[in-house]
Amino acid sequence: MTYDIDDTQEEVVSEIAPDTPLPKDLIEHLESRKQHRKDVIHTTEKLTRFFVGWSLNSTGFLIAKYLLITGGGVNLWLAISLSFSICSVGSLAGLTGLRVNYNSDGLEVDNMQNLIKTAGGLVFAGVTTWLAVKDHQYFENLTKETVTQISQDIQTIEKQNPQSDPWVSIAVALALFIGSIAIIFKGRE
Amino acid sequence: MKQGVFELALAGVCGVAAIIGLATSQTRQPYDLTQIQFCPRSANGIHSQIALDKRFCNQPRFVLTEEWQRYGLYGSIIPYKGDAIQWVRDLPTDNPNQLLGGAVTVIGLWGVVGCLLVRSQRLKRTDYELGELEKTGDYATWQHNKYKREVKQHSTQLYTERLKDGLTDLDVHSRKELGLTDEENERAKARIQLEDFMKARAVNHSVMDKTIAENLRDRAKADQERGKIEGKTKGAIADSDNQQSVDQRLISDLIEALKNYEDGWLWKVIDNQKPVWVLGEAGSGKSTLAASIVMLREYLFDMPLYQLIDAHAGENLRKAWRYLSPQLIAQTEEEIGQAFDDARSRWLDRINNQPDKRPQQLLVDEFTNYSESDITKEPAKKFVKASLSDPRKAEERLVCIAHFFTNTATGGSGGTAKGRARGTIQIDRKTADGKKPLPVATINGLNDSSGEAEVDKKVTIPDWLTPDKILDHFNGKPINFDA
Repeated sequence: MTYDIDDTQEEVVSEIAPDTPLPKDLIEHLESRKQHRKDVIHTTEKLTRFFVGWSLNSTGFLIAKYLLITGGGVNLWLAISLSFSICSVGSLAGLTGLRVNYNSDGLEVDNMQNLIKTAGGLVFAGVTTWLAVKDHQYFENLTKETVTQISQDIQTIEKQNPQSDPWVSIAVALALFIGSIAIIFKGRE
Repeated sequence: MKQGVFELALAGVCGVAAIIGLATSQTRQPYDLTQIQFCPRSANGIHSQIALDKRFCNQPRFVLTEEWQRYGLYGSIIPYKGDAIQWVRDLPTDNPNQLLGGAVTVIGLWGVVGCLLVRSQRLKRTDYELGELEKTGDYATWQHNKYKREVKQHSTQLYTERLKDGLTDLDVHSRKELGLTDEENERAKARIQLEDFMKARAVNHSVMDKTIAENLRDRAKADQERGKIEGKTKGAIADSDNQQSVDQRLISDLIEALKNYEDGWLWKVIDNQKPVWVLGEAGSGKSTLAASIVMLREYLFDMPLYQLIDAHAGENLRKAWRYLSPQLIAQTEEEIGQAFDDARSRWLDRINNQPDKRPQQLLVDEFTNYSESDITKEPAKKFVKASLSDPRKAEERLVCIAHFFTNTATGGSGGTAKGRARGTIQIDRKTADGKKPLPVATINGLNDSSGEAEVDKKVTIPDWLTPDKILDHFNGKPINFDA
C-alpha cells in the first residue's frame, strides 16, 4: 500500500507556534544565562564523577581492610581481588565509546583517550589495593622475621649442644653384632 | 532555591563526615600483635640455663596475634618447640574504631555523590523551566525600562519644545525692541502658520475620507458577489418575494374553499390529527382521495410524505401516487413488516426525544392484505393499535387505505373496534359499477359543533378534489371554486 503524503501538509503539522519576539540585547543576555546553566550542570556532573571515583576507591579500600582485620592472611587474595575489582569499576566504565577497528588502512581506534584514562584508573586501583594490604604485609613480614630468628636460634643451640653422637650408635650396634657372633660360635665348640 | 541550598548543605555535611571518618580511621598499628619469647631449657645445670636465657629468652619477639593463635596447629609458621616458645603479652591495635571510621568515610562519600546526582538531575530537569522564567522576568524588566526610557524621551522632547518656544518668544521680543518686526507682522506670520496647519489637517481628513469611501465600495462589491454566489440577484429576490405572496394567496383560497365546502367536513378531515381511513370497493376512488388528502397537507401545512407503505407501490407510483414524493417506500412483505415496526419505534422516538420535530405524513395502502401474510400480520396488528394513540403526539399524520373497516381488513387488529371507530376518521367511498367512483361518501369519526360524534354522515366529494387539480392550483392554474 502506498500513501500520498502532501509535503505542504506535513509542514503545517510540524509548524511551531512563534514565540514572543524579544529584543536583541535581551536575547544575548538570555543566551549567556542559558550557557551559565549548562556550565553549572556540566561542573556538577564532573564533580559527581570525581566523587564517584573516590567513593568506589574508598569502598574497595574499606572492604580489603575489613577482610584482613577480621580474617587475617587467609583473606589476603580475596581482599586484593575484591578491592581491585571495586576500585577499577569507574575506570572500566570509562571504556564506553572506545572503538577499535582493523581494516586495510591499518588499526583504527576511536576515543583513544578513554583507553589512557582507563589505564590510569587501573593503576590508581592498584595503588589503592596496595595501600589497603601494605600494613598487613608489613606485619606479616615482621612475623616471618621473628620466625626466622627463632629458627636460627634453634639451629645455633643444636649445633653447640648436639643431642646424640652417631658413633655411639655405631659402636653399640657393632658391639651387639660381635656379641651375637661370639655367642653363636661359642655354642659350636 | 530552597532545595538547592538543602542539597549543597547535605553534600557539605556528608563531605565533613567523610573527612572526620578518614581522620578517625588512621592508625599506626592496625593489626593485633603478640609478644612472645624463646626460652630453651638447658640440660647442663643452672649456669648453662642462665647463659641460654641471657642469650635467647630476654630478646623481645613480635608476631601477628592470628599467627600466635595458630601456634602448634596446622599451618603455623612458628616452629613448634613446646613451652620453649611462650606468650608474653598482647599488643592490640591502637585504634579499635578504624573500621567504623572507614565506614563513615565511605558512607559520607557516597552521600556526597547522591546529593550531587540529585542536584544535577534537578538542574537538567528544570533547565527549560528556569530559562522560561528568566525569559519572562527579564522581558518584563526590559518592558518596564523601555517605558521609563520612552517617558524620559518624551519628557526631554517636551522640554526641548518648551525651551524652543521660550527662546523664540525671547527672540521675537528682542527683535521687536530692535524694530526689526512688529505685532502686526507677527500676527500675519501666526495666521499663515495656522492656515498651513488647517490645510494639512484638511489633507489628513481627505485621506481618511478616501479610505472610508474605498471601504464602502469594497463592501458593496462583496455584497454583490455574495448575492451572485447565493443565486439571488436583486431581481430574483424580488421575484421570489412576489411568488411567495402569490402562493400564500393560493393557500388562503384553498383553505377558504375547504372550510366553505358543505359544512366544512373536508377542512375538518385535513386539519384533524386522527388517522384517516379511506375505505371502499375497488374503483371507488380511495387512492385518489387519499393522495388528495396527502397533497393538501403537503401544500397547506408543509408536511412532507415521509413513507409510503404499499405492496403495489411500483404501479401506483405511476398512477395514483405520481404526484407524491415519499422519502421512503416499503413494497415487499419484509419491507412492509419492517416499516410497521419502524413506524412504532419512530413515533416513540419523536415523542420522547424530538421536542422540535417537523410534522410529516405516512401513507399505507392495501391494508386489507396485511393481515393475511405471516410476515406482516403481527407488525400490522401492533401498528394499528399504536396508531390510535401515538401519531398525534409524534406529529405524524396517518392515511390508511382498506376495502373495509373490519378487524381483518384493518390488519387483524382484534379488540380495537371501538377505539378505531372513535379514534379514527373513516371515509367510505362508493361506486356503482366498480369502475367509476361516485361523488358521494359516508364519513364517520368527525364531531359536530357540540362535540357529538356524527355517525354515517353523508357527504359529497367535490370534483376539484383530485391530485391533478391540486397540483395545477399551485402551478399557474388556480381552481375555480365557484364553478
